[in-house]
Amino acid sequence: MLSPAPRRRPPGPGAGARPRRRTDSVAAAAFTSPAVLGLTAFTLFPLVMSVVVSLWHWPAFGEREFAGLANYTDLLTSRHFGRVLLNTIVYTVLYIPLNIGVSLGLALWISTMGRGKQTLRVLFFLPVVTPIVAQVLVWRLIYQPNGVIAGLLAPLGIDAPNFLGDSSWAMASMVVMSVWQGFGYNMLIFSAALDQIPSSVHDAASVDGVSPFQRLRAVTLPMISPMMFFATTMTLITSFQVFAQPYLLTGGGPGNATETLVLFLYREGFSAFSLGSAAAVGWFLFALILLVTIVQFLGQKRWVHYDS
Amino acid sequence: MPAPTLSRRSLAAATAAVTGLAACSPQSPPGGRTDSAGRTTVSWTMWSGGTEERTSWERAAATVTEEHPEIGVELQTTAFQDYFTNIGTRIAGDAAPCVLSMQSLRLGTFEEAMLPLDDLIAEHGLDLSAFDTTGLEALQSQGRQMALPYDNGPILMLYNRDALAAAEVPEPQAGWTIDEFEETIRALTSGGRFGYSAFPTGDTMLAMLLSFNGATAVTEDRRLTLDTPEMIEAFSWYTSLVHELGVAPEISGNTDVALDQFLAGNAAMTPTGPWAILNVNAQAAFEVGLVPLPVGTHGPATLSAGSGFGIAASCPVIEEAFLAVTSLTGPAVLEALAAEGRAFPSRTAPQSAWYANAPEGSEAALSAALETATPLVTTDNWSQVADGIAQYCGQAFNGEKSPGDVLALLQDEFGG
Repeated sequence: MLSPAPRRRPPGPGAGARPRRRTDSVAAAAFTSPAVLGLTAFTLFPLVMSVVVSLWHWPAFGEREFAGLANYTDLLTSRHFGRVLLNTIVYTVLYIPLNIGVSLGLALWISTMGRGKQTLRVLFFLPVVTPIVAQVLVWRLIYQPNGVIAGLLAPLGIDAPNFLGDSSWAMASMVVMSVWQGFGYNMLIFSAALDQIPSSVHDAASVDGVSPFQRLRAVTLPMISPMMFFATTMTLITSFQVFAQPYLLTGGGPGNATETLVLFLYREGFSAFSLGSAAAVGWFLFALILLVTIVQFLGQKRWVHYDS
Repeated sequence: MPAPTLSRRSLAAATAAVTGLAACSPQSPPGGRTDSAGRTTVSWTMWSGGTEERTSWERAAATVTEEHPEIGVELQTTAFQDYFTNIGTRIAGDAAPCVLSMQSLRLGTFEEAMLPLDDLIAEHGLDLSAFDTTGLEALQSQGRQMALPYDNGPILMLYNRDALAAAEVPEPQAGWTIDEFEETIRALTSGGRFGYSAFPTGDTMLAMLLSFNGATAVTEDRRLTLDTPEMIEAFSWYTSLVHELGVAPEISGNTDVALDQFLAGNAAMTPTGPWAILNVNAQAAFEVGLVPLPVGTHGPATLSAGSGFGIAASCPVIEEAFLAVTSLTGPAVLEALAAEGRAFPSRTAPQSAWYANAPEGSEAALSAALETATPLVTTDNWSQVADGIAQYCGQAFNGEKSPGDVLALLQDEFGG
């Protein structure tokens, strides 16, 4: 039997000039280049430009001059900006608990159902997919003087307040509308998470003689805590960025009771055409969201239980 | 044998090819270009509220080509609420159109980016006497003609003739006083319906305040003067119509619904300009009447505003753009627009076409108002002022804040 011919091996090092072994790195670079180019052009470049613009007095048309940190200090000393920041924080503080509470509550309720669950999931999700402009039109009809709410309260002898025209009601009205618009998304997440809890855990708990409320607190919530963490973080981020509701419903009014950060940013950039100031506002927003998200992540060790 | 893979050389070659191709694509200057056959295309931006309006403007663009065969107009429309944001962004991004539609109220903001037309007017010997003088003045800045007007009009009072007849209230006549106005709207307020509809705006409200006691919000040299004693007095009176006398509905939100309330029959009177009158007349389920604003302590007065077409300073084909502008503000286009009710023409000759479709008594009312109208001069940050008026004045109307405080706040914020 003939032994197979020895395979030719490429000569080892020290045998003279030769090309290195070909790898796939060049091909990899070529295939990822569209995504990298897109990321650079549409994310990184605008980010860097935004920092640059925020350091200049940059009107939309006219003379541009370097301002250093003047845009930032002007905002920090501006009472208007302080109010806007406060409004955004108040909105978030009102919105998050309501949103999480309503969506979790509804998710828990429908988790007990059999057939109606799917239908209810779809129904509750509808406000999320409806265009916000259409929703604002409807809610304006609901809130306006002689609107739906006023009409419902009138026979009871109650004089409805001017929901969108009264400073003490405007923010709350906006929050209620936002909760209605946004709860479906988190409810879907929680509902899916609840479905994933193995029934053996629930059975074990009930065998141990745990009351439903204790079961909720000690078993259900910890088991869905990763999803709760995700939902809370994402909802916090989006609630700091709220724009459509104040822009369409109240225009930031009455007075500046409902003017939020992104609405202020939009007005600075596209009404006042003061792009440097608008960019600075954007970076304040970034800092705020970053701070809150860091706090969230640091706190997760305490209350989020991942499967070991 | 190793699997075939991309060499660095081929990658470099591919990148060079793609960049080369991209660079080869023709870069046409924004705004306009002249092709090798000598035909110039000029871009024109205009606001439009729907397909009907857009069709009117497309017909106007076609008229330009009829009158000047070597010029083609490329029309781009946006909704009015977004129009000024849109062109501001375009100008900032060096993508401005050649022909710019401009409202007299926003001239202060955009005049820096526009070309004064005086030299071109002299060069082409354009006869400006055929235009309404208030229309021309409205689009002037520091003595320079920044745009040619296509429409212009004074703010007037609209009233619901059927409602007045039902309440047995005599119809107002030109020269009626503020006291008569108050009496009329008081008589018309009953059973959940109001006699008047007010909303804080930068045009109709300021016209009413001017009418009350001659209070002006902006000086001739474009300075904001919102907190003068006359303004505070006039504004206090105007807001009292809502929260004290209860003759106008409460203000809610920042959308101007005054005309909607009028059309729905909830309010019997509201001020507006000729740009809206024919639409209102077409939509109203009742007969519409017009009368100049009630006369206050300073004699009859009202504000006029208008719109026109100007040329962006960055336009590469200025001569052709000017010819396009002269066609767009020429007798043919204005006659067509007047007949459709699209605009109360800024040329005196086509005005009769507008009157032919207008409610009864319009000619008398408009002529009377035009005699006493002054152009509404605005500041260069008028977009913000107008937004601010809608945002902050509601509180004075609802009695939450004193009118003086609100005006002082606005003056402080935007008076700069």
